[in-house]
Amino acid sequence: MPSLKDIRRRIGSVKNTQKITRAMKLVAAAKFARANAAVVAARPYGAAFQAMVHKLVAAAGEDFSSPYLVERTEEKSLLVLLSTDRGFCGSLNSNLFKHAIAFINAKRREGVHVELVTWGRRAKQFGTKIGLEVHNPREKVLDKPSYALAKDLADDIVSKFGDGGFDKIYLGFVEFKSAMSQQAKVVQVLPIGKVAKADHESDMTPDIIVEPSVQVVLEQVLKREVAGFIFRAMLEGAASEHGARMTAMDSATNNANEVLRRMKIQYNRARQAAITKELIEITSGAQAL
Amino acid sequence: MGELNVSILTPAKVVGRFQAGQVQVPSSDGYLGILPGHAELVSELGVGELIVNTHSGDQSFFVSGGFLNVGGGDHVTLLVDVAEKPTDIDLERAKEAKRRALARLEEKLGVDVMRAQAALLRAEQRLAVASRRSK
Repeated sequence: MPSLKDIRRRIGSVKNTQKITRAMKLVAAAKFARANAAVVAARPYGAAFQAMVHKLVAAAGEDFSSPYLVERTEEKSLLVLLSTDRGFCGSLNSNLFKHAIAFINAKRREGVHVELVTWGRRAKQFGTKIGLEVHNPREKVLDKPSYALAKDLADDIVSKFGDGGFDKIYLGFVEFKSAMSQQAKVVQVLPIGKVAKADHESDMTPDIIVEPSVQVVLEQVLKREVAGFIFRAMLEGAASEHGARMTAMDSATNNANEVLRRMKIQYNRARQAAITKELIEITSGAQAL
Repeated sequence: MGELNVSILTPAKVVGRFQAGQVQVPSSDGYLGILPGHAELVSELGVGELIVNTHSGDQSFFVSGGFLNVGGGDHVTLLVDVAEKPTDIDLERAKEAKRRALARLEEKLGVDVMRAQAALLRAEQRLAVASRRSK
């Protein structure tokens, strides 16, 4: 049985750990609130953008082409992984990587060669571990999601598409559902799939003015479609990160309570045993007299 | 005559929603004035000053890149990459950007002239919009 002093020291150390996890939880909760607000604030633009795209597609009909839409046979593909930089967020990253491995294996069976771009330190570590070629890794992508950064990243991967050597580009990220649940996903970014037509096509008025021309505007729209998608993935990834960290740190704090409870019982038992032992020594000493 | 329902949206947030008699929009081919009852229109935006004429005076914004979508019911939606109020513009940064762009255009060698010109235009327009706040 460990001595009283040992147990006391261990209780102290668990209490310290608990203080840290509690503080991390509070920080994560504050950041989560901000990230969540950012996800919500970004929705009106997304909705308005979609509405405009439907209108444009109705006006353009089928006859527009763009380098963003070129479908080729898939031989070499790029998987972009958007992960966190830090751990302490439960199974968030490992779920994403599990997903990524399943995806890569599936592609390999189809005979497709896959290479990686990593956004986030954990993703880079993952890439090195599984021994895939990693192109310009980035860090601190989820720190402060901004549209300017998303545009920058979009340019980066667009340049790799098509003549850049890759036939298809996918993005693996964590979709934000709630603080408790996040869903890892791999989604095709390029080429952009056929832009969906609105369901209620009948009430579309195709006689709209488009300036300078449908072709030019659609080109710009598709460019922003990619950047916008990356921006949303960044916002969701950030919200997921803080949400997951909040829950992970909450359960770590609760767990520490449970450990403390057990150690206190152990401590009291050890103390009682020591007292009993002393009493026996005194009484047997008295009897010997 | 009705009024325009103007929404200014960036990917990150809603910058503002206004009831307005008129908006002046910097399209990629020059300024457009939109009045109530305008035909449906989608236009590419350039860099410049967006002016919204509301009851309580004119609202001015620096905008750069994006789209104008005039829909039915006098809904005017501006989907812009950047929208800044005059008071939000970082003067020092804009001046610095202007100086840098000019320096790059000066050198000319080995620089992307188009990019430097675009940066110069943005900086100058920012400064122009920012100068309104003192008035």
